[in-house]
Amino acid sequence: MESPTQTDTTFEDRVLARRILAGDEEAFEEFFDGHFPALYRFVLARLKEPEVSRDIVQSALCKAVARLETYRAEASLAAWVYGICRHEISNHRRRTGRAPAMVELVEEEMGPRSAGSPASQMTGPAESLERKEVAELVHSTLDELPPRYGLALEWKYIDGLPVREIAQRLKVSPKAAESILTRARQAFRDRYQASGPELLVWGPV
Amino acid sequence: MSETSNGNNLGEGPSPDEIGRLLRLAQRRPPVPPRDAALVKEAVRAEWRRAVKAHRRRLTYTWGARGLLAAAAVVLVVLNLSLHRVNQRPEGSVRGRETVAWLPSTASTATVEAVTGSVVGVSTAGAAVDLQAGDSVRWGTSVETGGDGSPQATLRLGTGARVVLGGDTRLRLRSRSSLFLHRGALYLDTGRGVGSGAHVELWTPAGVVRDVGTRFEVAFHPGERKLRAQVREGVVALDRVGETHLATAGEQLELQADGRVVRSSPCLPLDHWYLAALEPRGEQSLEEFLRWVAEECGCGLRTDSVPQGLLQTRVYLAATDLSLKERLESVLLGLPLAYTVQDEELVIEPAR
Repeated sequence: MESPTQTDTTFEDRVLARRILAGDEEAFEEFFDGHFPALYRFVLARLKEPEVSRDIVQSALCKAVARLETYRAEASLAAWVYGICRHEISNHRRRTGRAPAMVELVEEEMGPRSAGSPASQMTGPAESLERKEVAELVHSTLDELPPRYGLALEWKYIDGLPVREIAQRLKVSPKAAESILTRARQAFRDRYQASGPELLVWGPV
Repeated sequence: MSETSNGNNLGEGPSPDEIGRLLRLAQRRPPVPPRDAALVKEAVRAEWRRAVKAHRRRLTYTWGARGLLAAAAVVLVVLNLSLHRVNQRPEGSVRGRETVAWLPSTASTATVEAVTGSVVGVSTAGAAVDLQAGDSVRWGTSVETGGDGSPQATLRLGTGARVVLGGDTRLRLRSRSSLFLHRGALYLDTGRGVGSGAHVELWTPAGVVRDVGTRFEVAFHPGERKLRAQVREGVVALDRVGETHLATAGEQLELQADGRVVRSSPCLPLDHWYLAALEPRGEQSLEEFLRWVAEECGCGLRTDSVPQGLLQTRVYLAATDLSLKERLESVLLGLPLAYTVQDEELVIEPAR
């Protein structure tokens, strides 16, 4: 069953997709500026080659806009575009005969950790590795959120901006900004939780 | 899940406070290179514009088809009623109905119109084939020419644009209206006027040249790290990250290795490579022919000493494989006239 957050997101995405198809320049800008950086980081993290990554994201976004009529808002626009991007990565690997890079996590080095392991206590090589892993996980989680959710969270928690300022940046009322932040936290929590066991960061050992 | 859940609930994920701590630990996401973002954005924007147009066409067709179907239904009902009334034909015997199929314009290839030297098509999978006139080239294919500085191949894109490739050139056909020039030179005639809609984008490692309804030449030589765009008709835009330079007919923009853009209005030699690839002209007056030659070269034209009657002489040249210089000389051969190029002017004078 869809969560309210997901329903809101897909509704907004459906509206955005319609505006893009109608030729709304502002909607296109919102779509591109919102998705390109995340997709680029996503592909670069996997292929490690900036130029190839750029071409793949370009190809994925071109396909996305060309097929936008087929977007049915069954998932968020971000998830839909990511699906196309993953397909492009697979095609690239098939063409070049490269297997996906394996990420090896050494559990002994990482050690068991919990949601409460304080980042401030991390020191030494193992902790440095962990810090990097956590940062990558946080970044990829933010990238998977609807673009303005990720931005709102960064503005709130990294830049320390007040809600009023976030509202101005998002061009919404302060009340709507509060609502966006709530949904953003919820979405972040859901995604982070979903990624956790895979990377052994949050899952029980 | 509660907003106030604490960090010890492993099954519930991080609380708002922990989200804050995690984000501060991770810091901002790394920014993407602005140049890459700008390049990709322009390519996606071009694709988006095409998609919007296609979407509008489909909508128009859908509503048009619905209107036609509704009208056809009315006609059939009326016909059926009248048939029923006069009882002349049994139901269902109406013949001659046809299905009108609408086929979207999805031309997916370019066509090779002419090949002079060695021209190879390299597919995305790396397979290479010699190209001949009449061959179709799929999008994604790179076309490579060998040979000297004369025109080596002529392609016709799905948009109708004509692309002439010079020697030692590598061009990748990225989409219907997006090309990537890895090296060499090409001449592009979009075959339409300014403001007519579809644009061709020519990407190079140094910048993007975008036509606005025009004919132009672009050359990029990786060794010299120089990009040159020379406009024969209309307007082109040379885009680099954060800056756009426009050039109009007769102008040349040269992007230097140090990033400077130099604008000039050079007069080309009459045997400049792509001038041999211009399409033949129909019958015209000598004056029109000379004006065309001068425009193509980017030179002025001086005919003060030529009798007006002579300038109205009708000329016609069907040959397509002559350089501009050869065309000019062929036309003047039968007339008591000679030419010189002085101070960037094509000067036509009575022969001595």
